[in-house]
Amino acid sequence: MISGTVWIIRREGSIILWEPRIEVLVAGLSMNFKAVEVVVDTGFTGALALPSGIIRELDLTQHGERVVSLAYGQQPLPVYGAVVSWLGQPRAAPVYETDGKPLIGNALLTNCRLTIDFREGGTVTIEPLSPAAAG
Amino acid sequence: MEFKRGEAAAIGKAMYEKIRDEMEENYWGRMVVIDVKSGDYEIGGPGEEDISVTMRLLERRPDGFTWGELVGYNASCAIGGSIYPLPRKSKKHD
Repeated sequence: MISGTVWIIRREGSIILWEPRIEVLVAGLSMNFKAVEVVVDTGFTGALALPSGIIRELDLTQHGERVVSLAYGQQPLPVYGAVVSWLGQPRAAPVYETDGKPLIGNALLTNCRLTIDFREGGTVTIEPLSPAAAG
Repeated sequence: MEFKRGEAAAIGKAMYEKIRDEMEENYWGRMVVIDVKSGDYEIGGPGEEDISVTMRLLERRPDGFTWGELVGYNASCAIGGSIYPLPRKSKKHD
């Protein structure tokens, strides 16, 4: 099971952003895994989206570009190859380069149970669904 | 980097346009990954993810640089946006 925490960001006392965050291990071809704190984003259909600084740090190799549908329209983004250690298993995953925060999305959450206690400091858990419950 | 940002997308889209009719006719909803250097491409199986189609193509084209299309759709990935089917290119389906 993967565990994380809900972070909230306030401005002038009001909550402006909720972030269920977890940590994942990500590596490039060298298989030199590094921990990356990511926001769990169910509005993201891919596996991983990372800003350029983290992509450089992980020394990921760009294998092309893909058109991505963003909230404000479509845009081609650079895509890199990576390996993510997910629920104890190494998995090949594409990484989209974005200007935003590090994200994990639905491609990794498939056949998992995601729970979020939606309060400041609340617990985030991700665990595999039982074979009977998995699609 | 041999390609400037957006360049592989432009070449890939132009290459895809040439095969789009055939792809939409036979492979609606599948991933197609094109090596923009050689024009070689790989068609995914039903439900096959982009990364596994890409890895298969790069085994054959180790120096390849890829563009991908989800056949019949506006995008292969969404970050806050949505993925929806486009009108078919070929007139015979209108």
